[in-house]
Amino acid sequence: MLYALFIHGSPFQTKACHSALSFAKTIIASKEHQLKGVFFYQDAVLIGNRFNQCPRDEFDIQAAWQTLSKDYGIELTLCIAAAVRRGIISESESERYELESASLASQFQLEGLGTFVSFMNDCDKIISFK
Amino acid sequence: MTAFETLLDQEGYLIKLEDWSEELTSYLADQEEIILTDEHWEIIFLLRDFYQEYEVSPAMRPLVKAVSKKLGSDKGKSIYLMQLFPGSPAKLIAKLAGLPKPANCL
Amino acid sequence: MGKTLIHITSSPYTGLAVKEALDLAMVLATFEQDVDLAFSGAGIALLHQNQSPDESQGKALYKMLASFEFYDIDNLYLPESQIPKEGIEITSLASSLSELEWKDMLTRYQHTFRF
Repeated sequence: MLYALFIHGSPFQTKACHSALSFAKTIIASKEHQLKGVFFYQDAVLIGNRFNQCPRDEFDIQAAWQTLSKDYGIELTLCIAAAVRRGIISESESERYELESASLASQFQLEGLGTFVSFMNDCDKIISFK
Repeated sequence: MTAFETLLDQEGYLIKLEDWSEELTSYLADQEEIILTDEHWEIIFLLRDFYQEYEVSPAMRPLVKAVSKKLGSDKGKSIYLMQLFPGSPAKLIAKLAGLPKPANCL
Repeated sequence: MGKTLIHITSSPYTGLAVKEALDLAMVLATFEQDVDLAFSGAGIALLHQNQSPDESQGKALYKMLASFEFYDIDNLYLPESQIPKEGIEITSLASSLSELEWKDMLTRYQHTFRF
């Protein structure tokens, strides 16, 4: 089965991003399932802020997602509207809003909710994490 | 001319909704090389009323429905709006009407 | 393509959750997906008549809700048992469902998103 994950819980106030990460790893490890991509919405987009500084002795959830994305070519997409209002800004959005810098972490990209709609159409199952 | 420019963001949308005037719409239409007729103004005012009532700039499909409901099905067609406002009518009309860019049509 | 239910259980003005849930509904509808909305718990507050949030409390989401007819989002449900008692009227846009109808409704969707 083809899956996509829809995460909308904050990486700081909830374990949504953590649970989704284990789910993603399980899909990747299985033979009969595939992961199409991961869409972050609402406060979950905060995971894509490259200025986040995780204390050294804590689990770095952002880095864990980046590693998964790099190792397995998993697309990590943040909703552009949700991200921009929370200060998660790509290079091109930084130019559009005439800002001094960008804050989007590597391996993450900003896309409209339309991308999520195409996940819904392409996948057998969407799993939500809030 | 520059007085209007200071009210706009980089893409030409009005920054503060309360700064709108009919003169601003005419200025923006000039920039877009659109000659405003009564048919244009009718749609622009319809969109301003829509925003007043619902606090949202509609995307194309709901816009067409709203036009159809208020002005009849002859005008409530994408092709009619495309002729008046070529390209992306929902974005262009919002811009001319001094309203926020419709979200999620990126 | 199956239908999608957006189930709103959070209070409309305590955070952005409901605003962003409605945004999702509008985008889905714009992309021609079949969307219904359900309200329960604190989410029912969005259906109250005569709301007047000020600017700092957030956008007037009930106005946004009224525009949904233009998006072909025609079904707004709430459970009959949670209709507020005296003094509060619920918008006529929403239809109330008996306990059985509510349970049945919840099973009819391919996708359900709760906010």
